[in-house]
Amino acid sequence: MSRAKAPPTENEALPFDAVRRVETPEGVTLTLRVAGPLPRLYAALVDGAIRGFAYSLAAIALSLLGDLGEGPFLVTLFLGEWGYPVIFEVFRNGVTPGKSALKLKVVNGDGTPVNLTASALRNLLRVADFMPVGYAAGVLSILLTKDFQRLGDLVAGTVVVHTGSPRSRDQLGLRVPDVPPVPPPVPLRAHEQRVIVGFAERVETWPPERARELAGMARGLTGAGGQEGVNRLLGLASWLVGRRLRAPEERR
Amino acid sequence: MSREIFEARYSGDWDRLERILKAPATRRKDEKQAPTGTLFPARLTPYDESELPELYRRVCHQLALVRNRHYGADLEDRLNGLALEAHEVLYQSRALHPRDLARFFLVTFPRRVREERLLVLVATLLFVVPAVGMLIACTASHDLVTTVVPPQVAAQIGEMYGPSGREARPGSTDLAMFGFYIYNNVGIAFRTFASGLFFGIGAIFFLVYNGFFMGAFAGEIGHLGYETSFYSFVIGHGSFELTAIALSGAAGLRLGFSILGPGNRTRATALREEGREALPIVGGSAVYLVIAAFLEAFWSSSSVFPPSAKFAVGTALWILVFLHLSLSGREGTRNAA
Repeated sequence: MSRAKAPPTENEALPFDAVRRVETPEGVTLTLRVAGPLPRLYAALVDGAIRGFAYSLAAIALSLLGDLGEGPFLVTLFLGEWGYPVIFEVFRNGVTPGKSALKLKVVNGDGTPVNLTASALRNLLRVADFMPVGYAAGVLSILLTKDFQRLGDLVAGTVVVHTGSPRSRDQLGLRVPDVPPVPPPVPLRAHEQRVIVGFAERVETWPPERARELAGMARGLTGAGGQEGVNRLLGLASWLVGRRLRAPEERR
Repeated sequence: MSREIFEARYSGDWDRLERILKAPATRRKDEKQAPTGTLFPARLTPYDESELPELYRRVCHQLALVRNRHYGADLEDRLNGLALEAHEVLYQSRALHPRDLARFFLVTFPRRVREERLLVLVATLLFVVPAVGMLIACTASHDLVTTVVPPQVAAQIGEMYGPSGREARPGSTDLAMFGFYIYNNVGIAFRTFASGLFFGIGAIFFLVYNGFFMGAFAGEIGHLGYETSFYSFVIGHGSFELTAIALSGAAGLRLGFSILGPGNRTRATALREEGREALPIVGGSAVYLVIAAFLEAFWSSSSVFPPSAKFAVGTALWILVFLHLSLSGREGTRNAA
């Protein structure tokens, strides 16, 4: 099973981006946002707390049986330690309660849901991750591998990914100001478009002097400096995000 | 085509796909068409089945266009998320059927054990040689017992297997011991396997250590002269338990050797492939240990039957284990099952 790798595109993430690219049989590249050590630690703590709570409930309930309850309690302990993650990952599509709280999920390396084999492997090898003490091997492995995989993930071929939708540009307060769109005088390349749109999205967060200073760098394109340069860039950005003066006729 | 027109034209697809994916996973009404009796019911949503793949392919196409035309990262993220979720639903693995579990135990497990017979032999020797060696050494020199068996435990051996120990044991103790055997023994098998990841060292350690321990334990029994009581006790569940320890050790060695000798694969690939190959052996060992826990708690400890009956049944169980591992799931017998 070789790692799905898409040919580099203009959208290729920077090398340090925490994403994993998966090429599907449909020929499109999907992006998985792999989760780092900290959210996973929190998820493990939540799962641990839930298990501990369940054990105490079981202990109270089984203590009513007296000596007879000791055996069932040990079986509960066994199922909790070894079965809990596997049962949730298989029946709930890769999500334990802890992972659910942190909006995480286990998937196969190609983005498909984990099956029993993968889940059993990654959770059996939790023992190896724990060694020599306190998940040292697992943390080391997470820090050293590109997709934050602990040893169990490496053997099972799984990754832990974020499931919550990333905040949109609108939610981040990034919006191109509403100014009349102006078509660019020359065709612009993709990264040039990005720079202009990025400028427009952030322009309101800078002091006007700083905006004018930055816009001055694009004098070659806008043919103007100062506030006029800023305004012309905003017009271009408005055009680049698809705004038009009047609703254009739909072309086939 | 501007982004606005693109969105106006295709957002119907996206909303529809979103609704299908968000629909709660309910069983369809027409149970007959759904896979019946599945242990892990697949995620079924009430929609026309031909619709999802088609919508998924369309969204994939649109995602590629959005990227190529730089319509914006927010739109790209939305379509990426949709495609990812649909991809998951479409490419999920087949639901497990109860029949699969039977097939696993009767076919896959013994076959994998036979395929790894060399490693199983190595693991068995790593376990048996220290055990026999320790037994001989402890028989010769009594002091050696406490080098592996803690003195408190050694002191209890006399109580456990002496004439008084086996008589009155309440049923609750049997149940408690069953729970303990499950928790402890199956856990040891899993640890033996997992720690094999470190170049096989962990698996070797557990095998050799358990061998030494049992050899010393048996040595102490010999000194006390409780052989009949002890061996009639262990022969019943020993077939499943000792075999399972050797098997989980073999699975751990498989894991470790995949890093040491990956062949013409990368070590990461070798580890993934060998892990998958080793897992059935660990699973089978766990089933063996559950059987052993039942036998150990409720049969081996029973004082109703005379030792001769226990030796007879124990021998039969050993034969059963050997037959299972050597014959079950062979090509010729598979169709009959």
